[in-house]
Amino acid sequence: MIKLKQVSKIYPTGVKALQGLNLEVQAGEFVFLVGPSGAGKSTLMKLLYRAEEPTSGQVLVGGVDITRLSQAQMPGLRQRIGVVFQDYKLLPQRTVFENVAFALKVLGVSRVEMQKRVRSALDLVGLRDSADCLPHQLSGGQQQRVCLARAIVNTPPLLIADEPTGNLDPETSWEIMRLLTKINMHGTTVVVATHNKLVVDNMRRRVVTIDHGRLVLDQARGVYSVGVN
Amino acid sequence: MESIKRYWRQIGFIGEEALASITRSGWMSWVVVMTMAVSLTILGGFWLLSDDLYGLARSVGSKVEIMVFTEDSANVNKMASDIRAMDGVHEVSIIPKDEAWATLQKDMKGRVRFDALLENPLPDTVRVKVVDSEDTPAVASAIAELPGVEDLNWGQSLHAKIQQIATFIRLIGILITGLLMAATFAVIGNTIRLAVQSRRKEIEIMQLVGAGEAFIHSPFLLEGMLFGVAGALLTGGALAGWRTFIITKLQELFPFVILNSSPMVVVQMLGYLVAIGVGIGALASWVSVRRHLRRQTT
Repeated sequence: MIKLKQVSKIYPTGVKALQGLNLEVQAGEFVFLVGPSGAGKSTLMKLLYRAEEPTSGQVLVGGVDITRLSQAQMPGLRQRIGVVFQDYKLLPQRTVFENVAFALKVLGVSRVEMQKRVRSALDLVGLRDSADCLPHQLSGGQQQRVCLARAIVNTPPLLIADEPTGNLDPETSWEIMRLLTKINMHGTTVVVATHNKLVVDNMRRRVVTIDHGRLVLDQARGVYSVGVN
Repeated sequence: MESIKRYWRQIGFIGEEALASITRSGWMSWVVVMTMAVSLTILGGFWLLSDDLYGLARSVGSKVEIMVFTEDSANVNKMASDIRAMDGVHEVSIIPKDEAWATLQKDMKGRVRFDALLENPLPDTVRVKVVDSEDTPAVASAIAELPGVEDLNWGQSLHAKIQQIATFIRLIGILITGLLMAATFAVIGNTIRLAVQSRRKEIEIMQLVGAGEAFIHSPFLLEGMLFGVAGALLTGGALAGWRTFIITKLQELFPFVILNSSPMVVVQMLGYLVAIGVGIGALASWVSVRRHLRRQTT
């Protein structure tokens, strides 16, 4: 599903975010990406949906080298990747339903189809009854679940979550992780960048540790590495 | 079939977004439409006015009669028959120079002493009457091409003067309009910039869920174009009213002048104004959106 070959990213400011990084993720995997702040986790995530381009190296998503995509081919890539953010990025003047529907509206999905898909996405994240609420009427955990629903409503094969529990308490963080696991069990490849040691240690999933832009540890059923935090 | 439906739903979405943006900007949208209307009105107004003046120059400036003065060596009879063959010519008569001389002496009797002149200084003259005074300038210039024509007199100096004024007015109109258009351009660009900024989040999410660049630009382009249409329609109303007034006044002043008062003139002008308005609106939006989206992504 994902293959990074010798990927380096140097920002115009001279910051070396990634240095010769290699990583492979199979379809259907659930992967934690851990490491201290500034290790390059977010940069790696952004490379995957091409919010950033690598300075050198190859980024393959679904077998396609996305560094070679033209501007016109970008929508196709983005439609196959769901993205979840730490700050949810919901539209404040639109209801929960409209927020989730937005992704489908942009793609010109029919009204009936849209109703069906948004309902089932909201069902999955357990927000069926909050469809008409505005984001500010919801708790942080609920808002994150709306963001999740929006990310999966188009049933992408790949879901990327950048610090999805960064603003949430432990209890709510677990809820989100359970949801991500559920989505993963439906066959979606899930990559989660996180600081949350507790979550990582208890989930017993593959853990990829990055530090100073390099891959330092790749454990099949790992824990948040001691000495790196 | 499904792809066509999808296409239409996306167009519907673009329309909704553009209208929502216009209502959200509220007051600013008004300012834009009014600025657009003012500059288009001035362009259209000056244009119509100069059109009317051109018309005036054609009908007032031209007399029905053209006096053709011949060179001494000219074959007057041949010239007269050539002129008679021209389109729009009603009547041609020859005034021999002796006759003209006699008339002049009679007219000027007692005021000028002709004894000092040994010879008749006047040329043979051909008097041409045209059917329609509007054709006078054309007929006159055709006659001027004939061999043996020394000079013509058909009131061309008045005609030329009015035409000069009309050209001058049109030029001033274009100049003022040019300045106002630059202002309109800036106002629209700024409004769209604000719209882009207030929709930063929507744009970001559109990009994330895989909306194409053109799709993201479209609502803003449409917004700019709608500003153009609204401005031009207001202008149409203003011009139609103003023109009815002007035409009536002009007809009172010059009842003998036939001006082109058909409403088609305004309708045609309106067509041009809508095109100009939409063009300016779209261009301003495009420049603005491109600049601000480019800055945002990467």
